Amino acid sequence: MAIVNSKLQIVNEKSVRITIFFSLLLIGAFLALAGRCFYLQFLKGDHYISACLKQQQGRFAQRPRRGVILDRRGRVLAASNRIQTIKAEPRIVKDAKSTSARLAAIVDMGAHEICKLIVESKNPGYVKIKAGAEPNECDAARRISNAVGVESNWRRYYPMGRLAAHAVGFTSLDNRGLGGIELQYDQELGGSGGQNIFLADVRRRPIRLISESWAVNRESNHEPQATNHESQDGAGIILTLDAAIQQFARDELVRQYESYQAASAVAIVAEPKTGAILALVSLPDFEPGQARSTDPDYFRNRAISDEFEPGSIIKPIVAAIALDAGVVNTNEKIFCENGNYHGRGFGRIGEYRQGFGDLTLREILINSSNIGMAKIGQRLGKDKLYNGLRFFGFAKKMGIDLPGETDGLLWPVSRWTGYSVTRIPFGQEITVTAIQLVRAFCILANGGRVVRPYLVRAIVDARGSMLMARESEIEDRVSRLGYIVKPQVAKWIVTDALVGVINEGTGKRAKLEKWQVFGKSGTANIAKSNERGYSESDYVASFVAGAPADDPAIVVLVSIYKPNKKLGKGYTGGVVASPVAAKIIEKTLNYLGVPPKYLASMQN
Amino acid sequence: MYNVYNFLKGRLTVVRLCLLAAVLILVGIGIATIYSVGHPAEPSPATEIGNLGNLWKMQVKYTVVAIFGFIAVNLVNYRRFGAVSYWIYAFVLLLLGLLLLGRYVVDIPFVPEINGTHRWIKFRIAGRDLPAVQPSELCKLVYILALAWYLRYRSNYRNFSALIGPFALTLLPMVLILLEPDLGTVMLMMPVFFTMLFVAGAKVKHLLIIVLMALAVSPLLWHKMKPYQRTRISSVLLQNSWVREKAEQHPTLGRILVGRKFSIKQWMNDWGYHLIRSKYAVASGGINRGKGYGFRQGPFIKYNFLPERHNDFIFAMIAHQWGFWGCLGLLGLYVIIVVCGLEIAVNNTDPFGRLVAVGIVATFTVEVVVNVSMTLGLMPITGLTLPLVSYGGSSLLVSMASVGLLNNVGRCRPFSVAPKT
Repeated sequence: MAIVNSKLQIVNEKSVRITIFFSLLLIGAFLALAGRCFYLQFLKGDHYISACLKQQQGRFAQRPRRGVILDRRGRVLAASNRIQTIKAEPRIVKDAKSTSARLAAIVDMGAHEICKLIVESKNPGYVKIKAGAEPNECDAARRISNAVGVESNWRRYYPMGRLAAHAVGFTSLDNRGLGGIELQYDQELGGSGGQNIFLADVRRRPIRLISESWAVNRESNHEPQATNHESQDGAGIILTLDAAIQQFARDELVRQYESYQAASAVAIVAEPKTGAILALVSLPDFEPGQARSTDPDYFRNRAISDEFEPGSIIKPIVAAIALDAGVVNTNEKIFCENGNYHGRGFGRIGEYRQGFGDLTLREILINSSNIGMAKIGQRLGKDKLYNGLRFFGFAKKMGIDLPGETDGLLWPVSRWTGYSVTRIPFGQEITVTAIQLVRAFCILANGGRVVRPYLVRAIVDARGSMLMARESEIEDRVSRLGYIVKPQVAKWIVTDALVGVINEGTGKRAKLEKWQVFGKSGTANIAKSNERGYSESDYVASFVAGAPADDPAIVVLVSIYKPNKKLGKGYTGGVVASPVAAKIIEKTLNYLGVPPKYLASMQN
Repeated sequence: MYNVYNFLKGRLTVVRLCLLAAVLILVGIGIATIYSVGHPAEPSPATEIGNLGNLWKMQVKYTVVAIFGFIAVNLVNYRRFGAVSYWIYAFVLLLLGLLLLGRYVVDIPFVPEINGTHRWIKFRIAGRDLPAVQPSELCKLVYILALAWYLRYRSNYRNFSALIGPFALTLLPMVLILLEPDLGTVMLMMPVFFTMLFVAGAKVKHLLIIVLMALAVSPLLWHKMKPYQRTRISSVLLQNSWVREKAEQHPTLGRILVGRKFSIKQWMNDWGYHLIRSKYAVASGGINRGKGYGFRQGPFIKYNFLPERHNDFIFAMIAHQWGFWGCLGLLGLYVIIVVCGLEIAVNNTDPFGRLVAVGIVATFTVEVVVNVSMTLGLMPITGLTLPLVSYGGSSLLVSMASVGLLNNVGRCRPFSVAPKT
């Protein structure tokens, strides 16, 4: 009995031990689980909740509409249109046949063709069915299945094509500006893209939009509705260009450019009183819509990026500086050495055709005497010449609203040799850009008052409010601006000397019946790139002109680079460039409705 | 004898009623959670609910069947099951063999492949699908019965060789189930086996030796594992960002851990996906001072962020809806079941009944601990369900039958050879 008892006791003791052991094990296990819950839900709760919300979110950038670019009369130069593409995701297409049959009924394509597209697509995630689909097609396509979708994009259109290609510029496929105004004002045109945060399901498909605040607010049970992070469409830009004037300038320039087989050509039409650029043509040009397949060299806006030695065309500027400085007067006769001027320190200077004897300043400009200009330069001296040219805006960027402007070259006085002071007055040893020349002549035509060329007239945001209006800015500033040369000096140069160039000198071809034109030709040798001296066959033929002379409405610069001398049709500015300038002036003034006007003094 | 109310009669009434109440509450929680998953308070059109909406009805039907199972188990004395346990055991082995036959040899129409495994037997009669049966679930209970029957009189396993019999009894179904494959059930059987051996009187030393042997061959096992299996197990470690960084920096370490080149990005989006989401679902239940989002509320109820949320990951949904206090309550109910089960075991002097009770308690404990741990990221993700709560007919029926057996053991007068004093 005792044995049985003790055995029973052993069993009981053992069972107690077992029970204690298991209880401890169980308590431990369940406490561990509860502890883990506590850790996850309380101690690390914030971390996990924010991580969790982050993982349930997706973001996509809203693409705002890029702003339009208009000419001064509201003609569209560049605009963005919505383009919708119907696409399919081949890997989740369940039944390619029925899907394509239903798609075929919507988009005007064969079912077999669509089926082939879906089945043979190399990319399992995307196949384009139809680009440029109509809105009703898109609506119908969306309803087919979740394997078919519509994506929306913006495409940039340039209705005027090549016409103002260099000024307007072009964009990349993702609608970023790559040239011209498109690049310079990329930020304004581009607008601000909003960002949408959406709740994503398991397969990262958007369920609906949520607000940013939901992502951080942990105490609320309900998800607040999405706040509007709407994107801001890009601002529109109104240019000073006038598509009609641009058309005149381009037509005339292209004709001459082609008939003289020139390397490049530039024409600029500006309004001297304000500096507004009415037309800006650079050849060769390009089609902005097909920029991807264009030789990048054609993107070069030669009006602001190419610098060249101006030649005689700079003479009126130097003459104005000299007159203003009082080193010459209009009556004085300057001996022009009969065509051969040489001396210590500045070498030998000859004339272009025949030599001259005594010439007044007016005759120097009409005959374009190099020796006369060299002597004026010597009278001016280095510092006055240098400073005068700098005041006219040479050798520095003027900050026109286009990318890629260069500043030209004028050595500082410290680096001038004896040659400099006699060569710069007739346009050697200095390089300029076309836009700088236009500006300098605008200053002369504007009575010596400073103007700055500009291309953007106004920027208007998507809601229609004006962000920038250049004209009122300029009006504000005009009263505070100074004069580069005295008004009477500028007036004399324009209405006396430069009118003389048209009526008696090298600019005869630019003479117009209805208006008195003023102008100056320039034929500059192009320096050889590989050795010293100038090339005998390559020239820049330029002509700057304006009309009407007593109250200039426009200033035109035409510059044709390397006209083919071998054609035997001439190569000088007076021959090649001046007819172009004249025709542009004639058409433009007709278009602007400027009344026919001749100078009183010239009406004999 | 065959009285339907048999299960109420007998000893330990209070303990058994507590047990029954806890079980019924758990089943109710399960049905409510399955319902909430299919019926969010604010349904979202973008989320496909699929057939989730009807699962709760199925679960109610299963519950009715399971309650009948519970009652049926109580119709006879539990020892009668012991007498036929070997036969049932053999039958289940046959079923398991059939599954393997379908997997490796010939295509059997009623053994379908689901998620790359062959775990279910599914009959179609007159064009209608009968509920699929999962033999490995049945095996759990039958294995406990057979092992308890085998161990009942051999109360002292003092020598090592005596362990061979029980081992054979265990390894046979284990290997068959492992080949299905169903790693979860296999992992469940080992601790149950050890617990029962321990209770039957095996020496702790012997058991430790076996465990050490298993540990010694584990590198070999690891070597044999497929990358996805390795990834699952090492994901417990990989939750730590430091470990992740090291694994990405050192390709060798990454290869040891996941069997291929480790990439944090792929971990975030693919390998660790389930674990990360499940932790998010639990952690976001900490909202409202631990009270959770509320019934049928919360993003994880509304959107299908977490796959299998009505099934293996139902604990995450409970934590999400009812927060920390809900978790505590649920675990508390399981503790009640376990304590009642142990009470029944202690109060029964019949070795067979005690072993059966301990086996069932061990099964429950391991299932709950493993399932909740994997949801919380403490253990590798395996296919173990949360007993009584997760969706699934076989699991619910077997769990209820187990509880019924527990009830039966507690109810019946101890069969004792010892004379009364």
